[in-house]
Amino acid sequence: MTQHTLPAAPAALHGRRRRVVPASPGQFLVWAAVAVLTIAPLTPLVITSLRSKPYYLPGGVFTASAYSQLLGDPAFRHAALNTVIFALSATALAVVLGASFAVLVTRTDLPGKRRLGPALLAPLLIPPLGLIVGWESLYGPAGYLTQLWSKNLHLPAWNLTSLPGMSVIGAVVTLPIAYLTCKAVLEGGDGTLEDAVRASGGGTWRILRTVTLPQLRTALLDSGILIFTLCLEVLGIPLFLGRPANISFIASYLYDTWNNSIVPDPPVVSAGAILLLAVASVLLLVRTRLLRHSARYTAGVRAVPPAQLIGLGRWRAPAAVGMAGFVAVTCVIPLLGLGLMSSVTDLSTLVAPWHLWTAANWHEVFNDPTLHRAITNSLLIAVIGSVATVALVALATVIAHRSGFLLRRTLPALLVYPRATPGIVFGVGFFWLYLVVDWPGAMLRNSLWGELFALCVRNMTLAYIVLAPALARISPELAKAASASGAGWWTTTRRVTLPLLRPALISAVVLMFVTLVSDYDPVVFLAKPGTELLGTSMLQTWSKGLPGPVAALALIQVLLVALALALGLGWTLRKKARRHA
Amino acid sequence: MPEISVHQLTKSFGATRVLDRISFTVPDKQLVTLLGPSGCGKTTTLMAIAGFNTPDGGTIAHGERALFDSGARRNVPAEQRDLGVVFQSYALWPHLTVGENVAFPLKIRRTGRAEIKRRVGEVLDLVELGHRADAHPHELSGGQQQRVALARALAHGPTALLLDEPFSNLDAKLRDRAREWLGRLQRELGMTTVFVTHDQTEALAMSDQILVMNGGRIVRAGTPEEVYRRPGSRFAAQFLGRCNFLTGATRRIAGGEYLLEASDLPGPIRFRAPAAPPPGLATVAVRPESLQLSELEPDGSGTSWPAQVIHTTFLGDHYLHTLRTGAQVLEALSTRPLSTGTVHVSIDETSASLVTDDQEEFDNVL
Repeated sequence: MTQHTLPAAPAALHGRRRRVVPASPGQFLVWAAVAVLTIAPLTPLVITSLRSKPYYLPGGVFTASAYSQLLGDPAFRHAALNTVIFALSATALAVVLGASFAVLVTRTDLPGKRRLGPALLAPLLIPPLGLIVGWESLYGPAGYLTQLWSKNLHLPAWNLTSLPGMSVIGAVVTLPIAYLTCKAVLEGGDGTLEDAVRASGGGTWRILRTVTLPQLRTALLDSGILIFTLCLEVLGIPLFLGRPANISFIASYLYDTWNNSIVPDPPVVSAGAILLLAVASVLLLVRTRLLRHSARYTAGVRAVPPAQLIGLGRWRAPAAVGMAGFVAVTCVIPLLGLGLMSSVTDLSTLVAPWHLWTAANWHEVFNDPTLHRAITNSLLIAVIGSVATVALVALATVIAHRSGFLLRRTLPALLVYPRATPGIVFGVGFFWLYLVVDWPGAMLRNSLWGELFALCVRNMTLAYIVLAPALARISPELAKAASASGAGWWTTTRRVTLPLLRPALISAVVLMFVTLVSDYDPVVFLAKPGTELLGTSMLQTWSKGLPGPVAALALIQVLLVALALALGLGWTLRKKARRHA
Repeated sequence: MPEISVHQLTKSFGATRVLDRISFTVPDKQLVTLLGPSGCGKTTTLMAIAGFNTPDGGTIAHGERALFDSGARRNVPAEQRDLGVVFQSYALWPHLTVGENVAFPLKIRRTGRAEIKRRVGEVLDLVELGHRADAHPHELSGGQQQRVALARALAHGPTALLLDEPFSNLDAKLRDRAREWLGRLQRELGMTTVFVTHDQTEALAMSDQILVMNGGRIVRAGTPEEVYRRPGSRFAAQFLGRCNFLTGATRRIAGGEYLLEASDLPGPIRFRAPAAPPPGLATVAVRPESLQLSELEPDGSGTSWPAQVIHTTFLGDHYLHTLRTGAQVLEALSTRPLSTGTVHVSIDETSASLVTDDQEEFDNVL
């Protein structure tokens, strides 16, 4: 055996060594950026809701009159009642369907579940306004399929522009949340629990009743509260579907009050936003309290064997057809309808669509400077916003979970809060913020950057919920090893932590892009001539009664989303291929 | 390579004291093992030396350099301590090749490109992985990964090496070989090393000194032989291997020699102790292999008692016997099977050592 010897290491002169950048000042800057961006828009909201006149008018006093005026308005009370009925029914439907689909996909031998499972997530990615317009054009009272069904086949028709009708589309949009939550629990659950029921002589129904459903209780509660909170703030559904039937929700009530008020910028809207914010906060607080002990009911870290799949028997084919049909009716057909709608002068059962073929809608989209600008603006915001947001959130996430920074524990709450806050609340908040803070507010107020901030801050949470679990999966020892090798916090983050996070960073950028292209409610109060975005232009064009160009714009949104997803997916696949090569 | 000295190190997490005034010195060029059950504070101690957790009080010095001093509010950040650390998971960066992993500490120190190349080659040759510089960590076996981790820890020429359970992720066979290899490398490089493990075999085989830890304290320190043969406490005795405990009243017979009279045993046991045992009942520990078994009738010169063989387990290279003598049950080892149901047991005066009774503490950690 040879004797082990090691020559002296190359001289590590301390003078020559990379200067160790002190970690804290930079970390503090990142923290301050996150804190200011998330908290600042909510502060002026409180003040303006308590003023008797709009902030900039002289002679205002502090008063609660905006609140009493709001609560005294029968229209608001009616809108609130509608919202609660809508939210309750949509939540119930979404949770029941989402949980059933999750059980079918994870726990049974459903044919084709590998494709059907991901297909259920489509509503998360399809731009919400596009989906609503697609539904309206096909299933609305004058919709193509409604007409076909009632006029041509003389069957009793449904009514999409009613509370139950809107609840259905509300459920379709929010169902993926319940599905994903339940699926995660079922996949992480202890399979031997189900096998134990089988070993004791229990059949399929016994397993579902005694093990599977009780396991899901926490997930159902969790996703239920989340969906309910989201349903309270929907704006697109009442604006597009509720208006014809004169059904108003809280969000659309505030939107209409803002637009139609004789006094500009009424304090009532701030008061309504604060109420909405308070309700959403209370619900989320309730959720965290209820889920406090949830660790007790989830499986431990021990790896557990997957349970034997439940045989559906003769229900296999009907269940698969039912689920495929659900995806087709709720997502695929509306998207096709959107395409049809954008290319015809009018969608009617009386004349075959190909006789009404027209390129006018597309012409208008590209020639009308407002609509054209909306596309380029949205694209600009999505590209810059997604990269900038992910960069900031990535640093904030690493500080929150992999640093000794003093205030790191406040970061997760700051990053999660914006998405829990109703979008319309953020919209009003940013509007007032730019008005109250003269610099740089005056500059941001009338520019695209103002909207960029509102949209990005509101959706920061999405980047965080992609990055945080990915970071948690990276062993802390990897960063410690870099420190032990002599690297400071910034070097460790740049050379080790962020490169390891790369797949999650790509996913976060794609998700942010997709969201920024489609999101609209935080900017409905900020968009001005010259700074239109796809969503706000669609709202305006729709209110002018022009469904064709709206469908074309929606389709552009869908195409942009598809493009981003394809690029993201392509990157992942290429990466995989290279690894296997 | 200077020594590492730890003095009065204290750390609490909430109300629990994880380190309770720990003091020890790792002499130059020696390998000192922190041995103990999980939660005894051994990894906390190691990570305090590495700079990854901040103790509440005490000092840590490396040669002339104070790494941590609570009194002087001095705490050198981990990245400036210039130690080599091998983590339990090896912590190889999966996005870098083996060569890039090893080059990292040199790049941080702004070493020239050519020098880095030469040094990476040297260190990888040392761990016999010179030919795998372009591989990614996931393409290596567990044992190879461990060696890359070691190479990375050695690359910048650290003045001491800290090893956190480096063998726990290897399977039993590989572990034996890796242990021998690493032990030899450490001796030949003469690297001051702190080693953490919960495996008593590893500790006994590799260390110059063992510190047995329990409940945030060092309960026994010494060379492997000393710690094994004179464990000093029931806990240390049991943690380092099988042991018989005999309890009874003690009586001094001469100088440092005492007699233990256990009511369960037919005769007294002679033992040596540096100081007189406390009044009342005392306990001595006797390793199973120290019991002398004889199938022949004793000649009457020594003290031996007849014992009944209750049960025998074959363990490959030896047999483990459960014996009953009087009311006492004893465990004994022999290399050959016993042919009779009754044997004669004798205990040599050097093989019994006085231990303090800390049974409860041991039950708590198990």
